[in-house]
Amino acid sequence: MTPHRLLPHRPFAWRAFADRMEPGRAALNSLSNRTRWGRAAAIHAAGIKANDPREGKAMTFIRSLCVALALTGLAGMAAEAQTGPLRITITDGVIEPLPFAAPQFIAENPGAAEVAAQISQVVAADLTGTGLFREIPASAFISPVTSFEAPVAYADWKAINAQALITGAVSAGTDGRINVKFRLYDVFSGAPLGDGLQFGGGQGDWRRMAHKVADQIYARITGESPYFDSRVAYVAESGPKDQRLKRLAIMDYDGANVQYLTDSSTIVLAPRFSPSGDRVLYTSFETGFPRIKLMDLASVSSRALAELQGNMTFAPRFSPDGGTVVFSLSQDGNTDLYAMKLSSGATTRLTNAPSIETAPSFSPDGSKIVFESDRSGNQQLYVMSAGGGEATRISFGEGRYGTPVWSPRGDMVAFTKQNAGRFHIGVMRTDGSEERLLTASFLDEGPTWSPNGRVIMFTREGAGAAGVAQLYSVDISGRNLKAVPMQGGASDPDWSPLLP
Amino acid sequence: MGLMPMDRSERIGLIVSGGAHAGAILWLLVGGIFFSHDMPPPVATAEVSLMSQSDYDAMIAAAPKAATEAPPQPSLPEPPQAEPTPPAPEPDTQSDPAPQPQPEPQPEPDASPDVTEIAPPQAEVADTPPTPPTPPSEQVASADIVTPAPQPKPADIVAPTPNEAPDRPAEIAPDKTVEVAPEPTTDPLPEPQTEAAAPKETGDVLKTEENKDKVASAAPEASMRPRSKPAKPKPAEAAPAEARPAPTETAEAPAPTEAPTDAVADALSEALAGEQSDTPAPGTGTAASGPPMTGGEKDALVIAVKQCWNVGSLSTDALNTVVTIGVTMEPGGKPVSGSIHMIGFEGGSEASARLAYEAGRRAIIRCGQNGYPLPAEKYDQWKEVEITFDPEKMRMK
Repeated sequence: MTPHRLLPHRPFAWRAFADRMEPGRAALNSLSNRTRWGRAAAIHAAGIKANDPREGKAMTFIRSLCVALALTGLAGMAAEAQTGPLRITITDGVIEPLPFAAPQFIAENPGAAEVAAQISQVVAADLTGTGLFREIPASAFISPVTSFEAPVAYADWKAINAQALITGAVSAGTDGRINVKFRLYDVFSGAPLGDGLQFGGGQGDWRRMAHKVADQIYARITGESPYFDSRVAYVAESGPKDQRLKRLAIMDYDGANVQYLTDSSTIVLAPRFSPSGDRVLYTSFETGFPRIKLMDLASVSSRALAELQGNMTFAPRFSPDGGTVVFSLSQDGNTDLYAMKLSSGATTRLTNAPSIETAPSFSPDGSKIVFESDRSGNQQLYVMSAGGGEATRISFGEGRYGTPVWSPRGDMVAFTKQNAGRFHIGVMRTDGSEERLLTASFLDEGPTWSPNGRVIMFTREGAGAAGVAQLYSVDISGRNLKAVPMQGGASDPDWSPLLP
Repeated sequence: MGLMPMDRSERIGLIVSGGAHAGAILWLLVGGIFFSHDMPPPVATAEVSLMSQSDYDAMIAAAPKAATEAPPQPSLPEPPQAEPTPPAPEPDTQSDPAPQPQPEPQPEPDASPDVTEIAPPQAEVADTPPTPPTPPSEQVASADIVTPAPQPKPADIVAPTPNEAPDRPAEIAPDKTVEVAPEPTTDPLPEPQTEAAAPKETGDVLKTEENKDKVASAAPEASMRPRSKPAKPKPAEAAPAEARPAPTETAEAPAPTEAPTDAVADALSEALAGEQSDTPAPGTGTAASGPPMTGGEKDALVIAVKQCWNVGSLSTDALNTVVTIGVTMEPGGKPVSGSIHMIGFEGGSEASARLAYEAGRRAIIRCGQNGYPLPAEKYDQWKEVEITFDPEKMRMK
């Protein structure tokens, strides 16, 4: 009797098992006329279907659990997505000059009309010359600016896509002095960008005041420190290549206000500003041998830096504190680096190698010196402590490297590279990594950094007898390569610090 | 057959047998779930197809005769022409836009240095504290020898209240921007009437004894007249723009107005604008949240914003700063300028973060002047937007 009570369960269980087996059985039954491929496939299919019922239940349970968890997670995510803000990430944009409008500065009295126009032009030229800004021509303006205090019609400037607006005014006093004031607006934010500012000075300093205004605008928009109100010392060249006359000269960064510091009777080379900008080191061939001289710009008086008879001294450079000069000294056919304290004249030898060590340049903190040496067989760049000692080679690319200059920011070194018959101006990290060549031509050499470390000026000379040396500048991004507008030939530039 | 009386040994056997059977049945039912300890690995499922002998023979016949035969080599694509070596970036001195504001006559190189000209500036350029009404010239003169600090002092403000100048706040209202936008405006699409004129759904009303009369009376006795065509946008708003002198340089038109010239984007923007009247006020809880934002909808917003994200004038420090900006959107897809704020930044100083934020803010405002292409039915999901500007790809390599 007991088995009878159990029987009703047994057929149910076996029926369920038989039902699960049915597809596999049916598949197996049809194997008689199959090929080997088909048979294998059928067996595989039967195997899939003819699983143990326990496994089927377990799998069903697990699947249900997974589905429930997934639904719960999705519901949570959906709820979260609907409650929080929409979040997006933008990783690329556009790189283009920022359009700005600079209506001519208002002349607040008749005597200021001419200088107001001139200042407006210089401000706009400074900004556009960086390659980072684009001036919107006045012909596109919708509403004129007639008063410095007039409210800004932001909508009108938005309509012409002016992202920055510069307004200014100039007044001339009876004592020959002028005042320049300006305001900068972020048009699309509808608010001033910083405070208004005013500069005062003599009539002859209107260019400096214009540079000061442009410096403020540049710094407020880009975040970089400014560099427009700065000067460049260089070697002015004239005459044919084989009889080139060279004079020491100084000019504004934009090529204006050229002033000559020496006559053309003696060849001069490599002027280098002091950190305060009031003195210049240079190499003179006055005695027939290269000798370093120091010129005071206020009095235009020069004196020999070191009285080392019979020796050649050249390639001088100030230390960041202005108290030390590092230079090359050639003695008995060997050239090494030396440092001299300007206060005492004490000289220290920094290198002692049979190779040529020259073109030293201090790091901004004064702790290290980068220089060029051919100790490896050809010219390469090396870094050593400012007190001398072991030097570490940092240039390993093809070709020859020379004239290294440490960036004012301290993060890069600019250099001249010669490779495959062409010259380049390049930059690299101070450990030699991330080398980038910014220019290429028949002859590019002698880089110098702008005071903010954003622009490099250098000498470019064309091939042939008619090739003239000119000064060029390029952004460290490699963009905005352009010639410095100036008359005559020029070489060996050195950028001054920002003027006070 | 009657039941036979069982003695004690039979009963014990029956009980043992019954218990054993019950346990076996229970184990069969649920033991597989809880006590299975050696689950075979899951069998990988795969779709298979069965093939008949005739199909197989046909396939074999169609197969290549010799399996060892090398298959025909695909023809190689035409090699790209060797790119000419990029010439050296020779500067174009002819078209050089370098500034030469006022070419001044340069002194001829002479035999003697210009001693009298090289006196360095005596710091005549000085930041002079402005006096709001009329700065007396005596004060400026007295500040001649003051060396201007690199950063302007607060006292150097030209006018103490530079913000009081904009007495016409209406001019910076975003509405006016739209008026003067040179975007060729087509007739706006009529507002969708279907939603407003749709008859109420009466079929869902449950008919009961209590409301059977009301339900009967709720049936429309006459068909409703469709609502009149929605009024077009007031042309008076555009009139001032037309009255203004048109910019002579059309190239100076705002970039964002050119970017969404796509007809689809225009239609979507207009549709969004047309639906504004039907969109419930934000925050009332009646706005439709709709389905989640799709990736395409998010990408459309990214593309729209990045067109105006200009990092060309950013400092190298700012290019190392990732800034996240929050903005509240109007139902029409326009950003609320006053709501733009910096949520946070990484990788830079506060000064560089401020610059990065300003660049991002300009991008949001510039490209959102006409509204971003966002789905109106999902307004609740993009009412608040957080945009992270990561300039990693824009840095100098």
